[in-house]
Amino acid sequence: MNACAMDDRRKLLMKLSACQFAQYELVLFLDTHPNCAEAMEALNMHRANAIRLRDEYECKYGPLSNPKANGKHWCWTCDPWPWEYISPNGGCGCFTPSMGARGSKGACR
Amino acid sequence: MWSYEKKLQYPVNIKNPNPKLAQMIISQYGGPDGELGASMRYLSQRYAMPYAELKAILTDIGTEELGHLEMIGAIVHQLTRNLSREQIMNSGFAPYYVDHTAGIYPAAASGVPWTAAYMQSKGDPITDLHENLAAEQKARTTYDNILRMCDDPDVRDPIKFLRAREIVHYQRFGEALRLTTDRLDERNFYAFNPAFDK
Repeated sequence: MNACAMDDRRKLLMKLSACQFAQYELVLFLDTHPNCAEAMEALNMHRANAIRLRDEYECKYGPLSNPKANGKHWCWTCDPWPWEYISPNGGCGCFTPSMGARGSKGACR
Repeated sequence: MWSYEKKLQYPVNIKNPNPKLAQMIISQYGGPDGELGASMRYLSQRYAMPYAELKAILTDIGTEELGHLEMIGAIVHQLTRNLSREQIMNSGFAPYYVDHTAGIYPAAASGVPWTAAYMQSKGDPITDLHENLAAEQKARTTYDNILRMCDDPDVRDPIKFLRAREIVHYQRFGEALRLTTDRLDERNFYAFNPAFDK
């Protein structure tokens, strides 16, 4: 994967992470404020956004959880893993967008 | 049951290895106020909790702490990659290296291996919540100590994220304590165990 594609991957992952972070925050808040309708509404909104971003990410860059790893190629085993350093000029693993997260190009929305 | 997400809660990407820093930061993996102790503490305390909000907050914060453990592992791993003999010899990392090479092992910065004695699960909600409030602040202090000794922005950034989470968790545990005392007789909050004495 080249530097440009890696940067796009990182940006999309950051967008998803920001959205998931908002969810974690709201979940903890709701644990101690279970009747807060405003927080519940915000959580539902972030959840919907996260589903969309997650689908987009998994379609382009591979599965984030192993139930999503299917198709002909077991792409769960592909690098990179989350703890690995990724150099600015790429250095990424075997997953290519053409495989598709679900094993075929057609599955990508 | 847990499921794994192939991503960190907050990104870690450190350009420059620095074993000296790794030697300090490993404490938040397996030290007295580290993330391993935090996750084990909260996830173990859940069972004796009598109130639904408390079961939820301990489950959710305990789960987040597992994600923080992974972030600290990633920081130490990236700080210790491609080390030369000289870097190991001159950094203070040599004692850790002899025992674990560049593997991740839960130990304190002082080298003491992780022990369950770092945490407590007392089976008493008020006791356990006070333990947790103290634990969050002790972790925040440790992150402050790390930040004072660390100039690398690639490392400071995720450490600052983790420090901020300690403060949010403290807030939530404070609310959990209030939810607990709200259910009890204010004349004897601290004289009995609401999970055991009926």
